[in-house]
Amino acid sequence: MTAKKPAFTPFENEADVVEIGRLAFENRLDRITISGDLDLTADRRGLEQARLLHALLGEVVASLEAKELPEQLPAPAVKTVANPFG
Amino acid sequence: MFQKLIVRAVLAVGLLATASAHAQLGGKLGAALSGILPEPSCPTHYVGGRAPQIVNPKLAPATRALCFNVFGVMHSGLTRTPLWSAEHLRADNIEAAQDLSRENSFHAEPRLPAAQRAELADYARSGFDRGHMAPNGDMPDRSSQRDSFSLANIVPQDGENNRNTWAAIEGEVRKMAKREGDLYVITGPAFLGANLRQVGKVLVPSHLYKLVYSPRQKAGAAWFIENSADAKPNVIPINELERIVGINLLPALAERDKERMLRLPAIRDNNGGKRGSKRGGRD
Repeated sequence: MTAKKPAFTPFENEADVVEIGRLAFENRLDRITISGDLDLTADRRGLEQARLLHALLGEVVASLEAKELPEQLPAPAVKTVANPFG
Repeated sequence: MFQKLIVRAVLAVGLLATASAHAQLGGKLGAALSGILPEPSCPTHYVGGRAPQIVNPKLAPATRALCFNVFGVMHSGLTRTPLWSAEHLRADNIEAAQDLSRENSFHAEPRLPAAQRAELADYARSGFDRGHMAPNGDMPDRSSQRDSFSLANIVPQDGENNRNTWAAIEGEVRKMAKREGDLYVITGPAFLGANLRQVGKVLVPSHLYKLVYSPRQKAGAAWFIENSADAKPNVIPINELERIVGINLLPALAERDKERMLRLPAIRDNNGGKRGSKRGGRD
């Protein structure tokens, strides 16, 4: 029971999603959103999930280490427009 | 005026093959047409087999009905979001995921014209979550899970809202569906106020709603919540929600039937001690 490494290229696209149990990883260009929860149980399944989690986070760390990082992200670009239904 | 338009549109469809109707009629009439003619596989997602009807004519342009296996969407090319996503949730279809892990991917909806649909780039660096309307956690199989990641089923949603209160509402709905046997659920955005926020070309809804109807109790109600971090959901009757959003969401029901309130569970968000979502985290 070995989980295959999922397709998840941190910060490279807005598409990739990996769910480990109820824990979801969402790939964004400016962040990885991790939400939900997960029991890493002391059994074979728990080990496989822990390895997967570890591998994913390892890739996130490696990707961040390889980048020129700003002190903090710029504010998101959100416009205000007239409501077409208003 | 709008009613007349629809009547003419229905007559027109009687005369023309449906496939050519879009091409030949075009413009507003085409928009009205696509708004009232769901594709054939859709009725199963709706109470009495009847899809919601747009009442506010400003919502009608550039709408398009899209059918997925377990949910139906009315997409707006003005907002580049769904106006609603409708599901018929059945107790036997809600199973906890057994997989070690699953992969999914957000994607633009290929059936929509490029000039009307959201692209992944619209949401990039927006600060908003891609909020599912029909939740991934409701999907009974892999194919439907993938469907739920179509941007035709997504709106820009405040992240705190999405991951906490909204996830709790979704979890409560799944629990209710298990208790009731089945539930019809319609989820969508509301665009209220003089101004709206926009990310890329996608309009950000001011509010979100989730309407629940129990065929067993012949009663329904809706959660209505501002699309913001600390918002608390209000529980309102079906007809009040319909007035707010300008859509007849349950046209199969008589007006007096829409007043019969279904009791909805209290929502304490996922930061509030009680875990609302037993599966799927946020959607």
